[in-house]
Amino acid sequence: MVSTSKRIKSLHIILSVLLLIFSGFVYLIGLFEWRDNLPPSLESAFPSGTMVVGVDATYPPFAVDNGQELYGIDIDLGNALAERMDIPVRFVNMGFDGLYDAVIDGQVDVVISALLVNSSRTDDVRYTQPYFDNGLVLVTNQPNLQSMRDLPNHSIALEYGSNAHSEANFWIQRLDPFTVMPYELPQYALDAVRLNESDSALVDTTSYWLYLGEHTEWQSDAYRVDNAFYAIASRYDREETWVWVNATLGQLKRDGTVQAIIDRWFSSP
Amino acid sequence: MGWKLFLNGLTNFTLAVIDEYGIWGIRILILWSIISSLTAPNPRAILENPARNIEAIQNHVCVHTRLIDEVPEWVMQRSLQLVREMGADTIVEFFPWAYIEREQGQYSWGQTDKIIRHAENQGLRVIARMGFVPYWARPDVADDFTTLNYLPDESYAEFAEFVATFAERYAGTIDHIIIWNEPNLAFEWGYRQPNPQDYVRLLQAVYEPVHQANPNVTILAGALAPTLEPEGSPNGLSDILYLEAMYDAGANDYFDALAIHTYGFTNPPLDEPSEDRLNFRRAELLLNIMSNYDDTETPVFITESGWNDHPRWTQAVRPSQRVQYTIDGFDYVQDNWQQVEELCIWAFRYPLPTLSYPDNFTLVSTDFQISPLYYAIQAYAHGEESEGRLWLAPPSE
Repeated sequence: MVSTSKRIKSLHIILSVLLLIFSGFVYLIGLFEWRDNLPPSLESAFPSGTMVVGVDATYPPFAVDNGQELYGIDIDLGNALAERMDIPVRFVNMGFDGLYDAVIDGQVDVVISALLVNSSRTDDVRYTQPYFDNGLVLVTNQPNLQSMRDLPNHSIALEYGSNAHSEANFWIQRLDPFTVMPYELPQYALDAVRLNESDSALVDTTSYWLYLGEHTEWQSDAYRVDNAFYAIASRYDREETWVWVNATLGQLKRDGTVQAIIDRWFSSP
Repeated sequence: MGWKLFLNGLTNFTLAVIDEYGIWGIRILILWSIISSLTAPNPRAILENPARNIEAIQNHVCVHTRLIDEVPEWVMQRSLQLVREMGADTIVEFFPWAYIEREQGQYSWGQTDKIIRHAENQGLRVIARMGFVPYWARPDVADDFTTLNYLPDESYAEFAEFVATFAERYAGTIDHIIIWNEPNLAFEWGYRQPNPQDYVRLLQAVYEPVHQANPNVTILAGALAPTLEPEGSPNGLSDILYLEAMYDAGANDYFDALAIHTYGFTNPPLDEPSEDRLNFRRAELLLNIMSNYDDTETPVFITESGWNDHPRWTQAVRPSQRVQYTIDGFDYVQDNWQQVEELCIWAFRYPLPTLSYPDNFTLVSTDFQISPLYYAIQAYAHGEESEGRLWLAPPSE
């Protein structure tokens, strides 16, 4: 009896020691993991001491150059990021074609310029989480129209020749007939819905929100049809820059700053 | 008996593998067999029988395709079917020297044969664009880094030999060959200062051997980029100045047709031409130079043209404008430029999307989504009268 009890006791001790060793091992792994994940310093993220932002200021309301200053969503976002990181910011206005070259060559730290996430660029740049989705939306005030599948026997207005037109052509081959009403501009397509000439319109999010800003009294619903995410790009081998910008952008999204900036430039619903 | 032989053979093969690579050799072989059996084979692309014909009414509709980098054969076939259904009778396709003659004297015609076979099957004429220099025909990279567009003087003869071999192989199928692309741009001239005299010497080197290889060949020269770059610019040289210099250097003895690139950028097709302006009718300035050098009989092929409708690019127009301008451009060529045989739109479809403004030059997306411009060209090519405007009048309050 005694020897059995001793044996059990010994076994408990051995198991406890093993558990202790295992815990220590897990702790050490955690310690190393934590050490490796320490956020990089701001100095390593922005060696010049300033966040240099590349922007193509020809795309309202994201960035516009009025000859004296740059303004728009991307400019406000760059300023908000810099303020939160407590670092000066400088914007470099450049052509759309040169944005990627500028960040890859190190002329700028980041590009904030309504940049569509492009999978073929991910060897050269890192993208942050998106801050805006400019995908197509189905705009309507008909309660029974909530997706492209509901279109049969309805009409849809859109900009002639646009992505929306291609999308409608895609669906027209797969659904019972519906009427496509092409217009020269997306605004006219939205006019057609507002003036009850069309049951719906298919436009990009920016066009819709800008239109709402000009027609604040108009009530309509918008249903997302696809996504076109805008994100911030930094050079692939400058992971520190990405860590800081991505994390700070996350904070700005969580506390509502990003949405407030977007609302300032659109009359978003 | 047959089964016994097969089993004997299999046993001997298995033992040989074990002997050579051990049991892991067999394991890897089994794993490879399983994975291979799970992989779907590429869809086949069987030629249409009988071969198709173009049924369009307009005979100057052409597109620049990008098929050389396609891997699945059915993608090539589908692209060319769509080209035919659109009503184009001709394609321009790039056949890079560096792809075909990777090692000197060793030719790899597989991809080229596939393109030609399917184009012919769809009833399409092919204009071949030649360029891209293999490593062995360029200076030693260790001494001097060069790009695929760098063709040194000492390799002109090798290039001519390649083009002649190509012309002989496809004689009767490909009878139109463009020598080089946009040699008036530094980028296309291997980052060297563009030099019209050098280009004329290249034409001279190519002209005779290629005509000997295929007596019916039409050598197209030029394919100059529309640009305003002045004399001495490191980026390039104005197409107007370059073409004049080509004639001055005696180029007209070494080409049978002129290839022209003309883009509308933000201007409508009727916008007046001017030497300091890039627009669709800039081509008229090149035609005028031909006329100045008494060269009015030489045919002209517009091998790149079009408008772009990217929402961000500063040289783009609205999608509706792009459609209207393109159709008006076809009409303008038909009514006014008798010397022009084809108007080729850049580009039909890319093998991969750029996810940037170049995508908005295409008529069909990489995943085969067809643009409204494709349908508009199709209606034009088949002589369907458009009922006035392509879009509705704005709704009124």
